[in-house]
Amino acid sequence: MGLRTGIEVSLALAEAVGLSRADVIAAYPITPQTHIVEHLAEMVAEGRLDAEYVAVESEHSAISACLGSAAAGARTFTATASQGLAFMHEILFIASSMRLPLVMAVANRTLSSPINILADHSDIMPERDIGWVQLFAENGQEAHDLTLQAFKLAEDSQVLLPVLISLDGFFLSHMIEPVTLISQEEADAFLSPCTLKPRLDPAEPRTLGALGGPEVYTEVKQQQNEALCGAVPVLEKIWNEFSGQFGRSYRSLETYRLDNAEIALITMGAVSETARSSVDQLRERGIRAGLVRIRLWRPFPVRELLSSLDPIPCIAVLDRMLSPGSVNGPVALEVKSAFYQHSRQPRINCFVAGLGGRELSRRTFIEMVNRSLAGESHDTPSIHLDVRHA
Amino acid sequence: MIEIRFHGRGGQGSVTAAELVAQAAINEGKYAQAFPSFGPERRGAPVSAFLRVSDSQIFLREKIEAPDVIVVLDASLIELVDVFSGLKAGGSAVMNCPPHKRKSLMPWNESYRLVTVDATQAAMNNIGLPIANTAMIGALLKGMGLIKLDSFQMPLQTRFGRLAEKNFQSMTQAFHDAQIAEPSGEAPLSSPAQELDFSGIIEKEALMAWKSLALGGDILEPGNSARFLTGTWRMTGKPVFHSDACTKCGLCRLFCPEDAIFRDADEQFIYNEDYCKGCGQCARECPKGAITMEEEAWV
Ligand code: SF4
Ligand code: SF4
Repeated sequence: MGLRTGIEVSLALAEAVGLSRADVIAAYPITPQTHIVEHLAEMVAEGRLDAEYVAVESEHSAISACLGSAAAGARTFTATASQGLAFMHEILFIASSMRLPLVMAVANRTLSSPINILADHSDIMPERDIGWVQLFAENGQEAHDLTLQAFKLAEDSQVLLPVLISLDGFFLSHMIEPVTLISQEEADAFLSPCTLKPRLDPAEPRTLGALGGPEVYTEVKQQQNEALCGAVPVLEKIWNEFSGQFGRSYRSLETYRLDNAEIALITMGAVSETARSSVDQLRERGIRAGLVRIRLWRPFPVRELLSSLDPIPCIAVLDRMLSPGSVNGPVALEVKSAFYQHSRQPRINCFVAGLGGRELSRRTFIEMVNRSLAGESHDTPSIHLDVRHA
Repeated sequence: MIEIRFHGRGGQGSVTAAELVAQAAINEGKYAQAFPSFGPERRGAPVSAFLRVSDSQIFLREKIEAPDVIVVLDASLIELVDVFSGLKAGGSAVMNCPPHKRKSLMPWNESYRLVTVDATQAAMNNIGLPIANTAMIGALLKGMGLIKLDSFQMPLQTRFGRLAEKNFQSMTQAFHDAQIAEPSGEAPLSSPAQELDFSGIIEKEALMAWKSLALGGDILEPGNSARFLTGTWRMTGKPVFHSDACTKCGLCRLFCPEDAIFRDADEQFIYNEDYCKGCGQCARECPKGAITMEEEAWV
């Protein structure tokens, strides 16, 4: 049986990497990801984890080392945040296009400038097209569980793609909270030892990442996209198995109090818990609010989103990144395009808030709901930057 | 509109030639576009460039598949590349060719108009280097009357500075030297406007092969670079080994960048036709002067 314990979420995630019996960890420390990789380095140094810890000189090298490791058939992990993720950018596409399974944790932090180490989604949103499976954790338990599930998904022979887990910097990464830690026995029962066939194999030489002209480039992209979309049923199967073994259920999105709702909030990440409390407060005041929290960001769960929001007439989307020059934040863009071909057209408002660690409290969500219900029409500007408290 | 395709080798200035003609045409108030065949080409490797000249604005951004004219800067390419591919019936082929080899081109004269000139000689006479691209423009003008010779003064000046005048002389000489042979066969002089054939395009464009691709586009067959014949880049001659002078020290083999030198059954050093790119490094390194670079026969 798992042990319910108070633990910093970064450590809970690192423990899950250990439980997964990762073979190789290559990482470069950056706030607020540091505690994850420091803890892993300790586990390796203490001999608790039999893995190769590659201390590299940059995030670019970290992810590059991970590609080599995954190509050699090792179970591979890295973690980063913010500028570090941006520095990895070009290699992230190569990992997915070369179909190299590895797992990465991203402790979400904003991007400079101004220099700011606090949370928002400015680091991960520009990476939405890297072709990885992308999951958002809401709490420490999820960060722990998703990590184990991520290895199983990445290495599935139907998938063979990198998987990343986003966790909000500080508000999740540095939070001490109760987490039921999976035991090694349970972990081993759920996740079998790595059986990846080495692609880098002297006995069977091949060329990886070769030149691919116009006659083959599209085909490789098609292969990659089909694998990514095909990861969804595999993930659902893994989630079923997980809930059977551990009793904790996962879906591509979670809903809260949507029955009879007149408005739904859409959120991602740890602030969703705050949003949930504000929904309760609003309901107490007679406002029929509800919440959809997106866990699976890529591939985007269009069908689940549309059916969960039926027939709610008004939607308020939280975006934790400003997409300068765009009519919406990235999440609202996704939600709106999901509705484009739908017969039903709810009013959808985009709220860009919580940038660079600016506080997101229950009052923020209540303000979002009030302003949306006040009847702001399709014609009003769709971005509401920085929702302040009353 | 007239569509012209240039064939040459990397480093011979085919792209420059196409650009110069485009600039001269534009200076005359015409519309023109010149562009290379984009790719990872290298010095000596076969390359092509495209040129369109028109009296009205050009609304095309595609390669030229059915040219009115081809300009071939290096006739040895005929063996490597289908330079006549898509050339319209009765179209013109402007070929760089020394007089004694002109006869070997005659089979093509049946359906095409041939404009021949020894552009390399014209370049040697006027520039002192075998850079034939500007001379080939002279032959093109002689054959097609597209643009006035004088319109090249300014583009040449911009491009070559103090070498502009020599290039202009080379161009002028080739203009006067070029010989035109009208097609001898029955082929019509101008082909009817070619209908674009759309049948089959969809199928070709469909992602027919993606399911059979190896994971991530891996190449599963080791050592397939053997199929990449760097021998096709040879343009300045081949190495000739003089066994009487050779001490079998093996330096040539060590220095060959293509690993194209080996020892035959009689222990003599020889080179491999398929991979020798004609760089001359072996001849420069041989301490005994046992290798000389010599011109190759073609056609
Ligand atoms: S010229 Fe000599 S050195 Fe150069 S590729 Fe040929 S054999 Fe090798
Ligand atoms: S370098 Fe010259 S002398 Fe030496 S093996 Fe080659 S050809 Fe012979």
